[in-house]
Amino acid sequence: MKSLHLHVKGQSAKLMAESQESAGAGAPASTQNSWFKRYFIADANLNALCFVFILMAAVCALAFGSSMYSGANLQSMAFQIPEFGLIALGMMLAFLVGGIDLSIVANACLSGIIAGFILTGQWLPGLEEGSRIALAVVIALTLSTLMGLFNGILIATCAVSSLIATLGTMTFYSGIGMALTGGRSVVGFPDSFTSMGIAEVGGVPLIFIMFIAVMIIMAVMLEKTGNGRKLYLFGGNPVASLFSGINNKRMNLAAFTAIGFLAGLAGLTIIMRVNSAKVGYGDAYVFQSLIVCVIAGIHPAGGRGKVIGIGITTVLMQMAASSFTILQLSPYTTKLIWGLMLILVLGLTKDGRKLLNMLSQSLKKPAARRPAGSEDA
Amino acid sequence: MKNTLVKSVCACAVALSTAAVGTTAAYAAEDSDITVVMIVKQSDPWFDDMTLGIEKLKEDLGINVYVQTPVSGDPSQQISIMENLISQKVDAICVVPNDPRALIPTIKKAREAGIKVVTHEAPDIADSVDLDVEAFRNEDFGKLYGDFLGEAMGGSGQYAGFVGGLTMTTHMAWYNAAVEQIKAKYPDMENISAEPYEDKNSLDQAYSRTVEILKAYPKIKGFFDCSVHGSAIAQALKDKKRTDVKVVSLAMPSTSANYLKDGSIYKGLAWRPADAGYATAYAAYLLVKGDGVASGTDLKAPGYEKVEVDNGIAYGYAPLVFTADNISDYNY
Repeated sequence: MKSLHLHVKGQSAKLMAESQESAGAGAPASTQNSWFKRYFIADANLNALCFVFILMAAVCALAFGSSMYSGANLQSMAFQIPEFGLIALGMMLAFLVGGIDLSIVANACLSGIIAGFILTGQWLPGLEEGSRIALAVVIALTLSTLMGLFNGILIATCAVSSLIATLGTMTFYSGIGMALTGGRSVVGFPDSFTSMGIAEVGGVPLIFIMFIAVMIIMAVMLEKTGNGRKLYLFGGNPVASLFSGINNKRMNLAAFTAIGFLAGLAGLTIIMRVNSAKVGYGDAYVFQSLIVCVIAGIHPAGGRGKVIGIGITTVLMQMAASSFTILQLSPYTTKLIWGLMLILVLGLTKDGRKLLNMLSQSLKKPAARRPAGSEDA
Repeated sequence: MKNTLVKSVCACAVALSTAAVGTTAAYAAEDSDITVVMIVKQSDPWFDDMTLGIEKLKEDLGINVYVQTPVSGDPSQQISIMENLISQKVDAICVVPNDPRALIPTIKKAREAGIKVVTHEAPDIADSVDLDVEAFRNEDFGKLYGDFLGEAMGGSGQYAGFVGGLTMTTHMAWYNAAVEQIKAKYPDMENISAEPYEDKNSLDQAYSRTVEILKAYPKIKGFFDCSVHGSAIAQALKDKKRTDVKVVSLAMPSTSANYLKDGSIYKGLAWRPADAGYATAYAAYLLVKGDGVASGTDLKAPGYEKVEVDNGIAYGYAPLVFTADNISDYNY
């Protein structure tokens, strides 16, 4: 049994390496020793993204100078990124398994509303403030995870496409929220809860630190563990993963359950920040998170993309949003630019990949001349 | 292939840099001026008209005042715009909140940063802002429904009232004031229901409710609608050949003009978004200058010449009555 398992593991790792190679790495995974090279030079998509990011940062520096890079603005951006970033991370997981999750925001709103009912004491009254907050957090996260699991069950066992399944659950979850609240806001949370939303450690918002921690954990789980690699393999080629002995159903379940958990975190972050919970808050995030995933190089067909890409792209989007405000753009222009960015990046990923591949090859040549052992990390 | 990439990258760079250069001038002049920003709910004819008012204020005062429009009616967009404005250190933010309570933490942050915050259509959160500006007291506006419906029906007969939803506090305030006014002024009129009917803010619902009421109460002589869907009531009456029934409704020129012109809506009630926007931003300007807004202050817009300030809310008296004759003068 054990040897079979090992064998399967070895095979899936090999397939994984192949799929990474086809993702644009150019060289076999085994020779990419320096993490920096693996992350930023070898990955054409990240290359493009870093390039756009640096370009954007430079344009912003030239055009807006201190109003973009003031401490106040950076902090304000750091406060705004997490709630959206968590949703984008969730969408990334859906993309990785070749699916989509339209219900993330509805899930976040519903878990926010349920947390809200507990926080305001409308449900389970008579608890101490501290235990009320703890209970609200635990219940909201549990429920959101269960909602994610429900999506996963629909997709994995009922063989419904994730688009249809999550379209259904999106309406379903919002419907529950509507029924519970009648469309009104749940308001009046304890101060000690909302103060977490504005708390900062050495000038860095607490929620931003949480977001970074979530990103690191996700990156490690996806890219450093066997299960994470299996998820990539499953997303990139479900047939190969099936023949490698991977339980495909379990992969879908795991991905969508994790999305549910992220949605719960996003929901809590939102209600912490806006001091109220309501159906329909953040609806625009669904569309935006799709854009972020595509720009971040998460392949919609599954199996490709890195967490760091989402990190860079959310910052990029936030910078763009801030500059749109400074530029006083109309909402039509804003939409137009998002669309344009999407098309540009799609163009970059198809033809651009090949070009950037060539670039990265030439960058790698001097490194290749060095003795093999010298660049061991 | 190389070309495609190079082209797209260049296009991106050019687009970004032209956008940036094009506005650098306007942006640099900001320091010496007072900057007041109005955040509206979304882009639609109502708020486009409000934008006209803001543009007029910019001409009249020469201050840097402009409108920011969220891409959608999602409250998170307003919060994000507000956050960005706070870090841009504008002098005042005016906002017509989509979800007033969700904005409170951000409003608090803005005020802590020394920014004046003035709301419009958000009397519920007046204690969290510097000032809330309202076009009228809801009671006064509601009374107008009663006055006009009584006038149209000749002071007798059965009538019914609609609201968007029973939870909509503004609509309920108008409804109650209208019913009270009719009781006091036209005692022969009879309300067929103790509770208002809900049109759920949809034309469909308003239409089908009206058809049901016509069946159940064939003697009915009048309707009033506190939401803007009176045109569906008028359409139902036309379809059922009951043009003898009078309708008074909240109205928007874009949707109600035809019904007002052919008389199927007797009178339309509204207020002018351009004036409301003007008055709100003007109030913010006065607050930034340190002049303050008190009872009797002139906010320079029609209907707001002598506002009444009560518990942080500045009330104007700016109801607008649409008739067949004046409806063509408005476009929102």
